[in-house]
Amino acid sequence: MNTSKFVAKRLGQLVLVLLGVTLVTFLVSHVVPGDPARMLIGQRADEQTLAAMRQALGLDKPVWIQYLNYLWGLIHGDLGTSIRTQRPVLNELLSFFPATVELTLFAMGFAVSIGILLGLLSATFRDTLTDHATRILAILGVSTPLFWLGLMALLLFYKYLGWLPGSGRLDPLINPPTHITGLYVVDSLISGDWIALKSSILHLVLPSLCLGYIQLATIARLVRASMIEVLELDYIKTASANGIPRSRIIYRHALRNALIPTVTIIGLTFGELLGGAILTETIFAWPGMGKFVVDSISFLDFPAIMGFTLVVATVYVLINMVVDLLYPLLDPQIKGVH
Amino acid sequence: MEPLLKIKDLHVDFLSYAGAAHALNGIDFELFPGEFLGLVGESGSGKSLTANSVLGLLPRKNAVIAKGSILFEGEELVGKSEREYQALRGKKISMVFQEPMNALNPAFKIGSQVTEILKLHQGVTAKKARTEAVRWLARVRIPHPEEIMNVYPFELSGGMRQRVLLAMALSCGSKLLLADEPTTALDVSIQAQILRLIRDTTDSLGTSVLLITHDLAVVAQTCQRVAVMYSGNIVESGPVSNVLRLPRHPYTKALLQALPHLDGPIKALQSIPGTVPNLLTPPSGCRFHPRCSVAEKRCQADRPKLLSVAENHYVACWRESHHV
Ligand SMILES: Nc1ncnc2c1ncn2[C@@H]1O[C@H](COP(=O)(O)OP(=O)(O)OP(=O)(O)O)[C@@H](O)[C@H]1O
Ligand code: SF4
Ligand SMILES: [Mg+2]
Repeated sequence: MNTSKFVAKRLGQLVLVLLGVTLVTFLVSHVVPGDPARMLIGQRADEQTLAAMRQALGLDKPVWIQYLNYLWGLIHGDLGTSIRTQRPVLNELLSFFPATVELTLFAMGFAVSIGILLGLLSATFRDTLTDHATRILAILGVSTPLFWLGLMALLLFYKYLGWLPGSGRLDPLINPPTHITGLYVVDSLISGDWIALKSSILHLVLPSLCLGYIQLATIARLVRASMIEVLELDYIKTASANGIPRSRIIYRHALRNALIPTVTIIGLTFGELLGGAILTETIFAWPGMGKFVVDSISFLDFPAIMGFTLVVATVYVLINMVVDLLYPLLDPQIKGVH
Repeated sequence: MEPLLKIKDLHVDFLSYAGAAHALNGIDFELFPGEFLGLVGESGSGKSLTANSVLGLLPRKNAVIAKGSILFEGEELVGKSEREYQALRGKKISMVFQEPMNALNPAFKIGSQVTEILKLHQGVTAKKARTEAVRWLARVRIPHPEEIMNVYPFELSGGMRQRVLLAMALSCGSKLLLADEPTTALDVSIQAQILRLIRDTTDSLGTSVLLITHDLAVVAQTCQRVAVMYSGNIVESGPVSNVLRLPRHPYTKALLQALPHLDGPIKALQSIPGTVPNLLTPPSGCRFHPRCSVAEKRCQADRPKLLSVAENHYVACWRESHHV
């Protein structure tokens, strides 16, 4: 299969996945007790106003009609209207999306770079102090609940030490950089706004480190295990016997192969990061999609929740598609597969 | 003539909680420039260990050279640092292994793996390394070497990979090739081809070869001299014509009796009664005595030395008259 065929197939799968996601979220939203119309107009409104509101929201029609209406809207790029804010869900999500992407990318970058480095150190200096320290760090990572880690980080670095800001994306006194990508770091770099750049980076530190830490642990453990496995293989012995220096064997011959399983995990990791972002954004008052959806949940704002779910599912599928496309670059043997 | 490689009383131990296993128990042999020496013995007798010791490739965490010396071009290798070994490996002494399937890195093209070594050892430019690499691939009789430069190892057969590995091993002018069962994992039909290739290429380069094998027929066809190993010792060594036609050591005799014809198909060495000794608690005296049909009393008490019985022919056995 060639690349374009593969992409087409994946996109086809994406449509099916999204259909499934809408169906499930739609059904869930209709079995959950609670009446969004009531939430919106308040407890004291009379029956007539309520009925009018229900009609306005389309809640008076049979469920399957509502579902088809929803799908019809989706095809036209309409994710419905947020009950809470009364603005189109798509616009809401788009305005919060860059903040989440920025947070997730930084968390990811941190987790991947430091995770690979730690895994590499651990495997190279196997059974030494470096190895033990790294592994303890990794075990702590997989066993620390994110909210606890976030709160502790806030307490220590924000409240007591005061080294880092603890909420939001920017110092409130600073104007956001010119909107280009919506990622503050990128935008301020492009527009040369060094004050905004510094502030946005400082604001990113705590949330992205907390969010990335757990994934870092997973990646470090995986890289360690696969490095150790690879270092035992025949071609490593060939390289040694041919006089290739140990350091070069490690970073060129072994790491390259050890990274193959890691890349898959990085794709899956991204999904977990998106999930973790909801919690992180809440803890650090990060104005992203996660915070938006938490606010929507407490309001039973189903169009908003469903829109969020769709976006996350889409990003997840696309990221894993990219990972699968990268795979053959690392592992020539599966070139034939797609 | 000065030997290229001279191993004297080499002892290698494996350390474990159960104690030290004397896996090489005082090995002696010499290898002369341009010579093709066969090293035979049952599985576990220490053949690979011998080759790995020469190249400093013993597992660092549990193996030690307890005693002895390895002289290469008159220079002591025992005790050299990893860095000093690196300068020898691939440049003065090379090795090819039994299993060619996984001996090339699956992530890199053949060309990149061959040129890497040339660039490393000869400091040539990438362009020069490429022409050299193609020349070497042609030299090991790989058809269409330019195309092979651009393929990945998984696209090649076992025989082709072994050719590539041989080219890599010889490309930087090694004087000694350690070939550890280089054809055992290959298809029977190409074993002879690869052996002939090793033979011809090293002949024309003047490279000495230590050929490790299970197969006495291979020894008979390709080697000038042979050393027979048993449980960490060399029990007999000498010119192939002497050792295989007029074996002196009971173990060598048993091996040859287990073989229907020397030029027949491959035959394993296992058809001698008894088992290879456990290295943690090896038999006292001559390690072969529990399996030896002509063992005497002193065989259990003392270890026989490897001594000359004829011109260039050495045997370690109490039954040999010179030991009296
Ligand atoms: N990594 C190791 N740890 C412990 N003992 C080892 C190790 N490698 C080898 N040995 C021991 O050393 C002895 C010699 O092993 P070696 O690999 O040299 O045998 P060999 O003659 O090459 O056998 P084969 O024909 O199976 O390749 C074996 O009996 C084995 O018990
Ligand atoms: S020394 Fe004794 S036991 Fe060993 S081979 Fe000779 S006769 Fe047999
Ligand atoms: Mg072996």
